[in-house]
Amino acid sequence: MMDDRAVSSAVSYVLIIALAFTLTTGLVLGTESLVENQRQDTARQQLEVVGQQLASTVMNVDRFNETEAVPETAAITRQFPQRAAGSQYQVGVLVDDRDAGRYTLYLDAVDSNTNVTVPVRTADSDLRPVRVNGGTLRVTYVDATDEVVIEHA
Amino acid sequence: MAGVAFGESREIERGQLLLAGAFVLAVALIGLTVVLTSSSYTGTLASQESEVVRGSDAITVRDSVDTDLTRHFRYVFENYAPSNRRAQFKSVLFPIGNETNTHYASRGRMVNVTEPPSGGMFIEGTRFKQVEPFQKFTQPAGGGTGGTDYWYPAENVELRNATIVVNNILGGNQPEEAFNMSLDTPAAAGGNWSFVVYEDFSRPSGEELIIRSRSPTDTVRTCYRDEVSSSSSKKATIHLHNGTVNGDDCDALTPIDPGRHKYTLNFTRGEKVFGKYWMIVDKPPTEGSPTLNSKFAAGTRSTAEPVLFGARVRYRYHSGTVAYETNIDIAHREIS
Repeated sequence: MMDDRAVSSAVSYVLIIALAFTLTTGLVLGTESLVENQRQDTARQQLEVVGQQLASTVMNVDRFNETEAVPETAAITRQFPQRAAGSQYQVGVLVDDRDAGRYTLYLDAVDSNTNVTVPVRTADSDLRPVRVNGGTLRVTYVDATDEVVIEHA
Repeated sequence: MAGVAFGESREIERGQLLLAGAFVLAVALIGLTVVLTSSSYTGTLASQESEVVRGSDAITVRDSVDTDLTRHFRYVFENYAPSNRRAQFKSVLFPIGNETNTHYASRGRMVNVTEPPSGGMFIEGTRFKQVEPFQKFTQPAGGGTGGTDYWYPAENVELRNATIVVNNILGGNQPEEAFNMSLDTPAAAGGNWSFVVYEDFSRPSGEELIIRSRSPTDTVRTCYRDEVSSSSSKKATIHLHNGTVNGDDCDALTPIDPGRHKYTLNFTRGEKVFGKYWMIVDKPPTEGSPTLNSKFAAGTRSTAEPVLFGARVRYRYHSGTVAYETNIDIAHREIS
């Protein structure tokens, strides 16, 4: 009786393939979206951690300069990850109010379009506006310009 | 045959569906693995930071060394004659540096406290004082360093242990007419402080001594002392570095931190007040123009004697992530 229906095996085959394709596409798209969202969240969290640790390092180097005499050497090297959730990222310094020592660290994950800002304050020296790739960073006090500088190590 | 062929085709299609599902599952699992690994790494990254890695350990050790040596400097300053202070301080520096080095070496850090390589370990200073209890605060000796009612005891100095004992006030019951001491900074940083000492007879409690200060931002603060009068039996002892009058906090003086910057010390209308004073500055008696000696040590009412103002040591801290070398000035403004 089933074979008597007016549907050819070719049509049945096409329908099943179409259904499989639709289901597969939906699943892939849904999974990709889920993974992408999770990846962005993870990248954001990782950048926040890196930003906060970098901010505390900058403030510590600034405190190195609070002695009466100028420090001859004052540098901290931090080994941050090269990538945040699989994405390269950059670290930038924005000047909010130089006189008040208020700056913003700007961390931007290139691939995942995620960025994070972390405020940082200095008491004794300026923070030089720079833009460097993430990874191992060295935070140095430069006596000649009375600045704290973030550079790639 | 057709039925059999159709059945085989459905088996193949079912196999394709399973394959597609497995593919999707694999992609999802790989993605989730990446995400979970990164997420886990974030936690690791957040927790792997320590005081040593962050650099705050270098500051903690520096402050600890500073505190230890300051305590010792204070002890030496208060218990040894001026001629023995340097040797006593140096005799302790080496063991402290050695023990600090050994202690932190076992923890993977190189911490060293030594004499500065270029010498200049001690900061020479002067304690100048007016010792006669009923002298005006005009210039004790030497040539004029200002106008008739204005002179400066020292210029471009850091100040410590500034104590003024007021035994009498001659008129001047308005701040504009009273004795004024100002700390003028030659540099842009710091800002100028000044304070006046005068009496007001119109206060509810009668005669009161008033101290009014002006901050670098022109904030005026005032404190009153009704237990003090112009009679010599009720004198006022003003400790500028402690911010107290007769041992009690004075709001007008508390914010003044004279050890923080270089100042020129000015006395204005010194003829309005009787008493004595003593202060320590970070220049030897032979420095200044005119010298501190020529201002204070030429008569009997005052002296300018050399003292050990402070000491400078070399501090080095090296760990796997931190490189920090600086000089620490010991007993800077701490001795009271």
